[in-house]
Amino acid sequence: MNNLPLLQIKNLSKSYQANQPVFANINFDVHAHEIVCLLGASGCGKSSLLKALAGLHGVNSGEILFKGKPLTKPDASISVVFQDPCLLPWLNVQQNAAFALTLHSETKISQAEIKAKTDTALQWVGLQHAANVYPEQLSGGMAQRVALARALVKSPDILLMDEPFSALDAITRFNMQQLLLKLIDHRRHAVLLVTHDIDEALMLGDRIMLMGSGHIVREWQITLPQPRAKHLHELIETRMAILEELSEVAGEHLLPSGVIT
Amino acid sequence: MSALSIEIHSHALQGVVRLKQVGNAISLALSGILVAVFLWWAGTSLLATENSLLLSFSPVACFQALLQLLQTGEIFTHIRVSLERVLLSLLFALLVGIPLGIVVGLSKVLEKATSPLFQFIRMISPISWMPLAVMMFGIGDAPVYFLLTIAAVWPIMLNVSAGVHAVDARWLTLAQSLCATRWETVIRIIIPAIVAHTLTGIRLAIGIVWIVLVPAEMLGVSAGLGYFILDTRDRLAYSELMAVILLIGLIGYLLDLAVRLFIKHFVHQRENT
Repeated sequence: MNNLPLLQIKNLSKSYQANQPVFANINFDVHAHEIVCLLGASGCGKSSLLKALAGLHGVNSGEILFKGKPLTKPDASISVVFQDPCLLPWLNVQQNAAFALTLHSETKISQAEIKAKTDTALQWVGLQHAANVYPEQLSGGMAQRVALARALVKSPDILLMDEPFSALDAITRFNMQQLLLKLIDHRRHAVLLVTHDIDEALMLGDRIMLMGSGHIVREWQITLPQPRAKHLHELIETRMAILEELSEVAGEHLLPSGVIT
Repeated sequence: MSALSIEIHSHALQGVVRLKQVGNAISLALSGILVAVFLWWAGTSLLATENSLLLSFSPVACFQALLQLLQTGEIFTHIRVSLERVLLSLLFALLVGIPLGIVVGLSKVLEKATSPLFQFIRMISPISWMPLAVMMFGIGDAPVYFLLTIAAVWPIMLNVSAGVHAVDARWLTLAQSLCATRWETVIRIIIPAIVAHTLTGIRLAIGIVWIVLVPAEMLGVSAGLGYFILDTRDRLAYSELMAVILLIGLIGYLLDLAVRLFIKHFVHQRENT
């Protein structure tokens, strides 16, 4: 097996204005088949970091290597799932899921192949029966499943997910997390998931990185094997450790002077 | 009474209320028209003396003339020619206005550079181009098409560029993340996203073109409703003149209604398919 990390992030920094870093000196790797959760409070720079890793935003310094090569623009082997499902309202579920495959006409792939791949992706997310439905008629969870199918249809090496389940209710969120685990187990791609939900990170992550004020503060390896849903109590110490660290980071973030008035 | 029957009952009540509202709206609109026709009749018949010129402008004379025009079929040629001009000019305006609106909507620099210019030209009545149009294109159909296209292009272009501005930024980020080229982003995201804005532009354009049509057709052409107005004046056929005025209003109203219903149906269908 090739030991080269799938994604290497080296000294990555970005700031909109001098002295106002969005994130600074970010260093980490994501290996193939690994689920890495980037945990942090809103506004800590984690979403901006994810957009930079997707090639959607530029950075000021540092380097992103994808399969050993510098990444400066979106790559076809990287799929992004946003917080909002972002479905195109004039396309039905099938067409939305197939959207990535219907772009790039120069890389000809036949209609039959597109249909076969999309059908499979919809089957993975359990929506093959809703192929002809339009986005307005979908619930939040169903719409996010279509977005997941759209991301998976081009067989990416890595999924970058920006709080994909945060807008869903608790039960739907749990179902989506289980679906994601099942898909990853089956598809074996890597995932970098941005979240502000500690339990989500504990449920899904092989590794959790806590981010605060634009820096990665601490990292935890989660060795508890999947499925974890019924064994989460075993992670209670890690959860407490994350909470303690988070309260410090959030305190710094929210009260820069350290004084409560 | 069970909850279900109460629900059915309330649905039925809602239906009756809605029907009443529609009925009220129609009867109000009809009574407005009736009052206008009455005033028209009073102004032309009550005030007129025997053998007065006013009598040929009266509703009775007008409707008789209209019936005759429809029976002889003469008017249909003029209607067809006029509608052809409207639709063809609209097509030209779409061919110019949509690409122009997209380009201007996409480029902030271009928009800033052209906005005052376009607003300036837009405020010039298309009719003022008349002499220039005749000098450039000679006498015939060409200057009419030119005037109508000039009139239609601005509402289409401005609505399209407003539509481009209103495209959801998340869709553009999505396209970018899927490595879509700029051309693919325009064809696959922007154009489908601006359909509703474009339809609104077309509706406004049809309204303006229909108004500009009549004076434009007074430009040395030999058919069309505008031409026919001048023709009736020259023949002193005033009741026919009134009939054509009525017809112009009616066709304009129906054109607008058709586009309005189409937009409503289209938007509704997109929301509910």
